Amino acid sequence: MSRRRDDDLDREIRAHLELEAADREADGLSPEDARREARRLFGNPTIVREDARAVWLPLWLQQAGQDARYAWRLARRAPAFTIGVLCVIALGIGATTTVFSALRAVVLAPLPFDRPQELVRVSQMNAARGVADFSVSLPLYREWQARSTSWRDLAATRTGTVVALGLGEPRRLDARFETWNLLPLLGARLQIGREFSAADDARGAAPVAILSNRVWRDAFAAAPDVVGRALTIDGRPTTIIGVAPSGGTLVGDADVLLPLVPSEKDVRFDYSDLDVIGRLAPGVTIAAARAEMAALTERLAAALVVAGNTGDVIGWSPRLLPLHEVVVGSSAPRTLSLLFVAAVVLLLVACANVSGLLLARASGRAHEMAVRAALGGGRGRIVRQLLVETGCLALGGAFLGLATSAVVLPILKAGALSDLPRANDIRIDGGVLVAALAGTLLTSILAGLVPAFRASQLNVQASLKTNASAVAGGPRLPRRVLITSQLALSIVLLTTAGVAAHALSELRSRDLGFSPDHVLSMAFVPERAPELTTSAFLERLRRLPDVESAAATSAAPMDAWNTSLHVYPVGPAIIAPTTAVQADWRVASPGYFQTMGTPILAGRDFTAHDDGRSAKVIIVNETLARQIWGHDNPIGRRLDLGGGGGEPATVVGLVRDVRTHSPAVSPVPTYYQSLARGVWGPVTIVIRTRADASRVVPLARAELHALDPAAPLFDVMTMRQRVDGPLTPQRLLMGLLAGFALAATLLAVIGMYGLVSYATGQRLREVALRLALGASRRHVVRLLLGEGVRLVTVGIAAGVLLAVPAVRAMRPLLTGTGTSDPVTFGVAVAALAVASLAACAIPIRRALRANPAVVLRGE
Amino acid sequence: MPPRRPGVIQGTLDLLILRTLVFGPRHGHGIVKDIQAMSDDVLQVEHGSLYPALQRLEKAGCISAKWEETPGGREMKRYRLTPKGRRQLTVEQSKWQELAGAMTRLLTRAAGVPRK
Repeated sequence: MSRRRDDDLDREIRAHLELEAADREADGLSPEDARREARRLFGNPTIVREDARAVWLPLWLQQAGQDARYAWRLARRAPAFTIGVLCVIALGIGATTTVFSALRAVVLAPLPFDRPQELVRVSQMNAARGVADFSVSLPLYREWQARSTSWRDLAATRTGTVVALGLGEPRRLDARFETWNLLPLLGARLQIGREFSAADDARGAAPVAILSNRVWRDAFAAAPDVVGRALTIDGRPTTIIGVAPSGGTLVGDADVLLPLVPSEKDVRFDYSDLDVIGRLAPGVTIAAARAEMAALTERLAAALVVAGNTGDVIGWSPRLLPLHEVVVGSSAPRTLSLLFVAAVVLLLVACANVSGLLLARASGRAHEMAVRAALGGGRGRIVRQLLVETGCLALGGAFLGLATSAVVLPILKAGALSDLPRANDIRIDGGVLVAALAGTLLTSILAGLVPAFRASQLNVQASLKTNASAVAGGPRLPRRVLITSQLALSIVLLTTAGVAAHALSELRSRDLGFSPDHVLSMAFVPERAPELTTSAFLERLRRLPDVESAAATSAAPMDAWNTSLHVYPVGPAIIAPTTAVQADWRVASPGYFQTMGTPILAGRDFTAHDDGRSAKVIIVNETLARQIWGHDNPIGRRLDLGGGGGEPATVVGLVRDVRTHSPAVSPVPTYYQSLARGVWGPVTIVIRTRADASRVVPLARAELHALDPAAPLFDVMTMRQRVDGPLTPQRLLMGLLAGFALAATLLAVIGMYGLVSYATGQRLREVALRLALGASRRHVVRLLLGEGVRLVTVGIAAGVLLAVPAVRAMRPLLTGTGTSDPVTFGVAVAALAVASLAACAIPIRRALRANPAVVLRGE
Repeated sequence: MPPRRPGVIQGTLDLLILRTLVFGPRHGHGIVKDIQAMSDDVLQVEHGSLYPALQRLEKAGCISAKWEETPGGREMKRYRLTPKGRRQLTVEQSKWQELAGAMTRLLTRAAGVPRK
C-alpha cells in the first residue's frame, strides 16, 4: 500500500474519531469521556490499519510476510541450529559464488572492445612440420592487409622489452609494439591522451609512447598532465602521448605501448615475430575468412617461389582463432568449469546436509504441524510455510557466503588465481549476485522440499494423540537417502581431488632434463657489446661467495617466449635434405649445461673460442638428433640453419632433452649456439648456488650496477619458481578440489554422526534391555552399527559409480596416464569409510556406557 | 452493563455499506450512523472494521472516494456508489434475500423433521 494511501487512512480515522467524540459530547459526555468512548467504539486502529493495508496486497504476499515473521521467530528460538544451517549454506553458496565470479570474469565475459565477436587473431601453422602456432612476418602481414577481402582491417603487434630512463631507477619495461591502426581496430578508448597516428609508424618518426595504466599510477602517481612529458626509451628521447585504461586486456602484461617501426629484418618473409589481429568485415564468418586467407597465402607463397625468394614460405597456412579464445586460453576455461562443477557438487552436499538437519527438526515439530493442520492450516499453506523458512535460512546463508567470498576473493586473486588471464577483472558484480540468488533458490528448494513433503504427509490424528518424539521415530528413509547421497558426492570430490593431486605430484617429479634446485635465474639487457658484457658479468658472478657456477642463455626453461627455426640436414641423414625440422634454438654460454645440471651425453661444451672467427658449431638435444640422424652419432654432422644455403653448422655436442615450455610438455627438437658468437635482446643468467639463493641476488645486482649503471636486473626467480609457474592451473585445480572434498566429507561425516546419534538415542531402552537380559556387548554393537555400515556401503558404492565417469571426464585436463587411479579410489574409499564409521562409533559407545538401570527406570 | 447487541454478520458489512450509499454519498462516520439508524440500533458496527471494508469495495471499483469539506468545515472523505457498485448491490441483495429466505424456512420447518 502506498504512503499516500496510508496517510489518507490516518486522516480519515482521525476525522472519524473527532466526529464521533463530538456526537458523544452532544449526548452530554465530558470531552474526556467522549473521546474515550469514540475510541472504544472504533476498536484497535492498528489492526484496522493493517487490515486496510492488506486489502491492497496480493494474498500470497501477505501470507509470505506472515511466514517470514514466523520463520524469524523460529530461527531466534534455536540459535545453534540456525547458525549451523547458515554456515553449511554459506559454505556451499560461498564456494559456488567464488568460483563462478572467476569463471565469469576470466572465461565468460566478453572482451572490453567494440563488437568483440568480430575480432580474430591470425597466426600461422605448418602441419607437415608439426608447428601448431607460429608468428607472422611483417611482409606477410602487409600482403594480407593489402589483398585479403575478409577484413575490415588487420593490425600487427609484437612484444619485447625496453629499458626506460626517467622513471627513477633505470627500469626494464615490457613493451608492446603495434601498428598504429590496432587501437582504432579494437575500438578501445584511452584513459587520457591520443592514440598512435599513421605518421608514428614511419621510420624516423619522433618516438612516442602510450603508458599502461599501472606504470602511469606507479611511476607518475597518476598525474593528469603526463601527456607531453619525455622519457628515454632504449636511449631515445620519447614523448608520452597517452595512457591506456585500467584492466589488463588492452595492453596485456605490457608496461608501455610503442609504435611498430619496421627494422631491417622486417623485409624477410621468414622473420616472423608478429601477432596479427583482425576485425572481420560485415557478414564474413571466421570459416569463410579462413578459407579465403588459406587460398590467398598459398597463391602468395607460389608467387614468391617463382620470384626466386628462398625464404621458408611453402607449407605454411594461416591459423584463425577468435581473439576471445586467444585471451582466455585453453586451460583456464576447462579448469574453472571443472571447479565450478565441483563447487556445485559441494553445494548439493550442503543442501542434503541442511535437508537432513531440517528433517531432524521437523520430527520435533510434528506435533506443531499436526496442531496447525487440525486448526485448518491447509496442506499447501503448511508446505509453503516450511519452504519460506528454508528460503529465509538460504538467503541468510547466501548473504554470509557472499560476504565470505568477498573476503576470500582478493586473497585468491593475489595468490592462486593471479596467473589466470584477466584475473584482475574478477569481482562480485551484478551477474555474480544473480547467480548467487539462483543458487539460493536452488538451495531452498532442494533443502526444503523433502522436509516440506514429509510434513504434508503427516498423519494428524496419530501425531496429536501420541507425544511428538514417538512420531519422530517414524520412517527414516529420507534421512538415510540424504546421508547416502552426501557420502556418494563426497567420494566423487575426494577421488577427483586425489586424481588431480596425483597428476600434479607426477608432473612435479618429472625428469625435466635439468635440476632446478639451487639454481637462480635473472635477466638483463646488455647495452653495448653484449657478448663481452655478458662474459664480464659472468666472471664477476663466479667470484661471489656461495656461487658454484654461473652461465648465460637467451632464454631459460619456462620462459614464455620462444625462438625457433627450420633446419635441414647436410650430408647423410634419415630424412631428405629438403625436409625441414622445426627446431627451438637457444644461445648458451660455456658452462650453461653444467650450471643447469643438464648432462652432455656426447661431444663437448662450448668454449670461449667458439666465436664469430671460428667455425659455426652447435649443440643439439636428443630429440633433434634422433629426428635427423636416427640412432647414429650426431657429433660432426652438419645442419643448414634456416635454409638459404649459408655456412652449415657442425654439431659438437649432444645434450639431454630439456622440458623447456612446461613440465607437462614433452621436449621438442632444440639446438644451442654459442653465446660468444652472438647474442641480442635480454640475456638470462643462471647461477648455481651453494647456499640460500636469496643472499646472492643483492650481490649480483651490485655487480651488474658496477658494470653498467643503466642496466636493470629483472625476472629474478629461482628455477623452482619458474618450473612451478606453468603448473599454476593444476595447483589451483588441486587445491580448491581438495578444499571442496574435505568440506563435503566433513559435512557427510557430521550428518552421519547426527543420524546415528538420533537412531541410537531412540533405541537406548532397547539396548539397555538387551544388555540387562545378558546380550553380549559385541552383539549389541553389531546391531547398532549395522545401519551405519549399510549406509556407508551404499553411499560409497554409489559414489564410486559416479566418480568413475567424473574422473574420466576430467582426465583430458590432467597430464599422466591415470594408471594410478585405482589406488586413488582405494584411498578415498578407505578414508571416507573410516571417518564415517568413526562418527558412528561415538554415539554407540555412549549408548553402551549408559547405565541400563537408569535408562530402564526413566520413561 | 448494556445488553449485548448482535454485531454485523461476517460478509454482510459490504452489503450494508452499499445499501447505505444508495441514498447518496456519505463519509465513514455517516455510514456507521446510518447502519445503526436504519436497523433501529439493532446492528452494531465496530467503527474501525468499516475502513478495511471501504478499502475493499474501493479496490473492487464498487465505490469511489473523494475528500470534501463538510458543512461543519471539516475535511472528510466521502464515498459514493459507482455504477458497478449499484449492480453489485442488486446481486448481493438478491443473494442475501435468497439466503435469508432459506434460513427462515429451515428454522421454521426444522422442528417438523422426524427423528430417527
